[in-house]
Amino acid sequence: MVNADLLDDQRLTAKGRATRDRILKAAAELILTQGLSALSTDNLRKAVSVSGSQLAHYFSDKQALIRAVIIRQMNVVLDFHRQPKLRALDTFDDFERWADLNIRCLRRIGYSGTPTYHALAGQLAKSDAATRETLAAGCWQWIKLLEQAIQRMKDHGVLIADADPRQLALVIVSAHQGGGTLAFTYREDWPHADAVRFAVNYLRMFATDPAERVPRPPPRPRGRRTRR
Amino acid sequence: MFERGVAGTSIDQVRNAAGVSGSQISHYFHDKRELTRQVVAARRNDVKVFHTQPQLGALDSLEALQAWADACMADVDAVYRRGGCVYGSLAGELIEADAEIHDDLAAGYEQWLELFRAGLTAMRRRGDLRADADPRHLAVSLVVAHQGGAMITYATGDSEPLRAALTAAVDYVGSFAPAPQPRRSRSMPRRRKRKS
Repeated sequence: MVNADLLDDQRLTAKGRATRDRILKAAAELILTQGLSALSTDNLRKAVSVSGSQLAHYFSDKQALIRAVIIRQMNVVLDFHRQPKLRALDTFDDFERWADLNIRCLRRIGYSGTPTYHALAGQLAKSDAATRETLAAGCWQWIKLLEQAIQRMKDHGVLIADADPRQLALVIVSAHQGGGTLAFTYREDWPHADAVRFAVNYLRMFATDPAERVPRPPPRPRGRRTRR
Repeated sequence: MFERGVAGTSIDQVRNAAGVSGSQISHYFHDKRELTRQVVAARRNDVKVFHTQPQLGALDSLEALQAWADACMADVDAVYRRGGCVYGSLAGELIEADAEIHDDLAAGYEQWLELFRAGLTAMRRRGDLRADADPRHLAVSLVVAHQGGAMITYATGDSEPLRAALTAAVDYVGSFAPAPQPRRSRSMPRRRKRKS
């Protein structure tokens, strides 16, 4: 199913791909801000200035469109992890940079209006089983990326033999998503900062080098509002 | 709302499910937004009740935190794989809601965090955690691990993410125990052996 989507994408011209991407971007924003029920041909046509037949040219049906939205958003996450600044993501320095870039990203996108993966999941996970499966597939891709990175750390002797890359990947993704959920709820960045700090400090617990095992201090709160 | 999500739930559906009339439901809930706020309040209370159950004590020891993780996992099929976290699923679905609803949700999280923070502070005061342990950070770590793990477990239908996240968060707290520690293996067991 994923292969068919890829082929669709490759068959398009550069202009076609750009249009397809605009449609997906608009669809993601509609889902996020108005819910899945707002994802109609009418609304999309208005948002992107395409005709109904053009839409059908890119997406055979609504399910295909939703699937493509999810895949696109997961690719944003995967691309983030593949950016040059993170190199091979196989040292503690790389993971510290990962943590830092996550916070910068959050500050850049703000707390509403951006269809992050967990925001989309919030709108789509309970719609139907097929959609949830696509969300699940995206999660597993992300987990696998991290699992491979952490395996490389093991191969390089940076992590002890008992380190389980899959378990560690599950923890990192969970922490990240939980941090995102709280950050977007509070509309403040400290939950995400604490979350990625926990994730990297937890990874450090499996370091072979005792100096790397030392937990780095959690972030100082920046103007955290205290609530009752 | 737990089964179908906030967006997928209408007042009519609720009315039918509860077997009440239109005038009865509008007597209590002016509109869907009001109903949603009440659901948030109810779920916030559910979280409080869960975390103050006797077997978890005051969440002020590693044993208590492990008991908390075990209690969550006991619900993995009935709750987490069915609809995710009863509270977090709401937070996730209401990301684009208005400021008032955000305040409601944040207040619920704050209450939850405070339960952990108080227990962790007691541990530190007692010397069960090092002085450099930050109770607020550790509380946030426990909650974000739970929330993220619950989300991934619901999305994938697999109990492993929640289990891994909870185990890790509790172990992370444990890593701040003072230096003279009985030697334990660093393995990540699928089944965690309970310290007696």
